This record gives sequence, structure tokens and C-alpha cells, in this order.
Amino acid sequence: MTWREVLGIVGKGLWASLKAGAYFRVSFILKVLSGLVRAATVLVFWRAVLQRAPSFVGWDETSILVFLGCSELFFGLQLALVSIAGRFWVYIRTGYLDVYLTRPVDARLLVAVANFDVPLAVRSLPPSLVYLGLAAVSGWRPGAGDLLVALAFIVGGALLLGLIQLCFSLTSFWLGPTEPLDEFVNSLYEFGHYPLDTLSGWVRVLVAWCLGLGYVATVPARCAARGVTALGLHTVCALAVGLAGLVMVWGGLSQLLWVRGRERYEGFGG
Amino acid sequence: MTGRAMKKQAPWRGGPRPPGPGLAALDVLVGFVTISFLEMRAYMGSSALRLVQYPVKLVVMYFLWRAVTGAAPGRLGLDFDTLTAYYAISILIGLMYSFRRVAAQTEHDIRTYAVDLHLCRPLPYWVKPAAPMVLSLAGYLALALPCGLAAFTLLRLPLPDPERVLAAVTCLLAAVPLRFLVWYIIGLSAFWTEETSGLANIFSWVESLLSGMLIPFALLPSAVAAVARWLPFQAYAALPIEVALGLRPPVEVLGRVGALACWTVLLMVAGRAVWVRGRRAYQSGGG
Repeated sequence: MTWREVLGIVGKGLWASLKAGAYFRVSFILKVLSGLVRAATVLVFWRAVLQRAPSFVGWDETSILVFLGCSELFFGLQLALVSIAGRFWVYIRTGYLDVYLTRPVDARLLVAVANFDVPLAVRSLPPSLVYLGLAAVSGWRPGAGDLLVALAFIVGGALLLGLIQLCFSLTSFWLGPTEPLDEFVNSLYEFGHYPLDTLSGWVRVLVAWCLGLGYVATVPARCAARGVTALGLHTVCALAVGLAGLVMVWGGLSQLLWVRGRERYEGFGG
Repeated sequence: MTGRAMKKQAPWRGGPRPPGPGLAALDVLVGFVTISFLEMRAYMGSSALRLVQYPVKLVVMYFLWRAVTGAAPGRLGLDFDTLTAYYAISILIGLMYSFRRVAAQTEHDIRTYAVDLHLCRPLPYWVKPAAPMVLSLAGYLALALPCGLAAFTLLRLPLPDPERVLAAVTCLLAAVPLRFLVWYIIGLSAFWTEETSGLANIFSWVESLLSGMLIPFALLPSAVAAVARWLPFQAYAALPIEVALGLRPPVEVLGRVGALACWTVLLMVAGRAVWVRGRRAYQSGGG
């Protein structure tokens, strides 16, 4: 299968998802509105915190606003495109995977495309703009390069979290229903809502660098808020290499689990 | 089919026909609860599933508030231990039951016309989303208390007095019908919108702020806190937590339970009105 064909399938999935969003128009408007309500709620939370502690572990009001904007973009992208990876086990457990295995396209790609939810990504845009706009009002002046680097980390982070979710899901070939793992992996999203610099010791090493959840919002926000020059080009390059390494490790693991798992898979009815 | 014709139908479970409509309804109710109980027994583990998230969420809040209180010692009005205890309980309450499921199931039944089947039964429709909730709550209570105890012990927090815990649990349970009704009404909005996740998202964020689940009232801006204290949502987070931690007297629960009953009756009336109007708008499978 060529890259052009893959992109064609992805494009069709995105278009179908947009059309589905347009069909439930009232709900779509409410979803966009809900993003703004969430932004208002989150701002009340951080206002309450930052009024009493204007700066903590290197994060002040402006950088927290940038962090929130990055976090919102990340979750919009992740939930819209690859969040199905966490529920892939349902396809294995129910034997519904058979339907996808009969097609001449990678079943993982087909499942992902069939579950695209573009309105979720669209919904995340207004709150992101609110956060980043407020940051700009309080003096944030990012360079275009800083923004591009931050965006690249967000996309890479979304891919990484999708691969982690997929790995846990694929254990379903051996473990059967993996709802507890699914719930656990979903709870990891929580680390994307707060700067990981608050963590300390082995928890930080494990969460931020072994699992790679630092790339969810903390690293992109650092790049966008401080700027690549201030962080140091070497640091940013090291972070990028780290992300690439983690994507390769989790990607390799997911490929191994997929191949080995399919050898064990008996399909619907055995 | 008219309402009178529906009443004449035999109960779905079969067997000898009970003498009156009241007993027929009771017969169906018993059958319904029995099935739900068997279902819960079959999926016993799933009651505990949401609690898997507890340690992760607690770790996040523990480190966040440690960093914040460390940066501004004495300026928060609540010390670190109190904040940790607050979130240890708040997160546990948040994992009680996914009330969104009530709205999601109601929406699904309306959108897929599955509600038609329930309209043929001599039980009100709301029993369907309510039955699994009640059974799941029973399982939750059995598991949540040991989880909370373990968290308090590991974090070396002082354990709340048993009578305060009892008052807090009473308050939480008294608030369950209210929470159910709110989410049920959100689900019923599917009669008009077909899809309710947008409305559910809006409400869940407003609820998390005004219930005190997101942040203690003591840290909220005074205007928001004043509104939150007037609304009933505090009964399922801020009030029971503050009572358990000794920040408010347990006797406050009594007054709040009375107010909760009023809110619940109000929502029951609203739910009934939405149901009646929704059914008028509903066209069933095939129109």
C-alpha cells in the first residue's frame, strides 16, 4: 500500500467525521460552547491558585496560560485522531476485528480512521485561542519557530500517547478484556492537565521521561513560553531525540504485540 | 397503543398474571432488579474499575498542591495536609459513578428507538438507567471506604472521626437522586437534539466547579463561592468533605438534606415535564 493511498483513506475518514459533526449541528455548537465553559472553569481554578502563589516550580501566570493552550491543543488532537487506540481491545475481544482483517488495508489504520472525531479537534480551538490570547495580553511574545517546535512536540506527543494506549490495548490478545488497563491508561491523561515539573524524584522520571508524558504539554509549553533560544538548542534537540526514541520504542513494542497477538487471535467463534 | 391497552398487557416475565396493575408493576420491578443484580454479579469487577484511576489522580493533585503550598506557605488559607485530605476524598467521590452514563444511556435509547420497548412496559422508563446505578453504588461503597483508608494511611493523614464520616456518607447518598435527575434530564434532551454530549460536557464542568470537586470553596473567588453555597451541588462534594475533615459541623448536613429534598422534588417535576413534552416530539422508529 502506498503512502498516497494511506493519505487518501485518512482524508476520507476526516471528511466523513466532519460530515457527521455537521449532521448533529446543535450538539456540535454545544460541544464548542462546552470547550469555552471548560476554559472558564479552568481559568477560575488557576486564578485561585496563582493569586496566592504567583509562581511555583518555575511556572507563572503567563507560562501557565501557554501550558493550558498547549494542553488543550494536545487533547483536541489526541482525542480526535488516535484516542481509539485505548479502546482497540474492544475490537479484539468482540471478534469485530475480523471485519477489518478481511480488508486489504492495515486493520489498525482502518479502526483509527473509522473513529476519527474531527469536531473534538475543532472544539479545542476556541479555548486554546482564549488561553493563548490571554497569555499574549499578559506579555507573551512567541517567535514563529518556537510555535512550530511546540506544535511538533504536541503532534509527536499525541502519537506517543496513542502508541502507549495501543500497546496496553493489544495485551487483550492474551488477557481478554482489559478494562482495568484501559481505565488506568485513561487516568494518565491527568498528567497532561498540570505541569509535570511539580512531580519530584522517581515519579517524575517515570512519568515524564519513561512514559513520555512530559511531551504531552509540559515540553511544548516550555518551548512556546520561554522560546527555543532561551531553553538552548541542545536541550531542544535532546528532547526531540528523546521523543523520537520513545516513539520508536513504543511503536516497536506495539508492532511486536500486534504480530504476536494476531498469531494467537482466533477470531469470532474461534 | 393507548395507555389503557398497555395496562391490559401481561407482564413481560410471563407466568401467572398478578391480580392488579400495582402488583403487576411490582412483579416487573422485582424481575428488573433481579436481572440487574445478576448482571452486576457477573461483572463484579467492573464496579471497582473506576477506582483504578484513584492513585494516579491522587498523585497528580498531591504533587501539584505540594508545589503550590511550598511556593506560598500560609497564603492559601488551607494547609497542605488539609488540601491533600480534601482531594483524597474529592477524587474518591468523583469516581463514585459515571453519572454521565445515565445521560448517555437515555440518549442512546431515544436515538436508537430502544425506548419504544420500555414504553410498552408497566414501569416508568427512568427505572432502566437508575437500576444499574443503584447496584453499582452498592459495590462502590464497599470498595471506596478501604481505598480512602489506604490513601489516608499512606499519606499519613489523620483519619476523620467515624461520626463525621457517617454524616458525610449520608449527605452523599442523599444527593444521589438529585444527581441522577439532573443527568436524566440531560439525557432526555435527546428527544430534540439526538445527541447530548455537548450539553453533558457543559454541565459536567459547571458541576465540578460549583460542587467543590475541582477546588475547595475556600480558594474560590468569593462571588463564585457564594453562588456555589446557594446551589445544591455542594451536597455531593464540598459539604461532605468539609464535614468529614472537621471544617464544618455535621449538623449542617441535616439542613442541607432538607434543601436537597426540595431541589429533588423540583427536578422530579421538571423531569416529568420534559419526559411528557419529549414524548410528544418523539416519532419512534419509523415515525
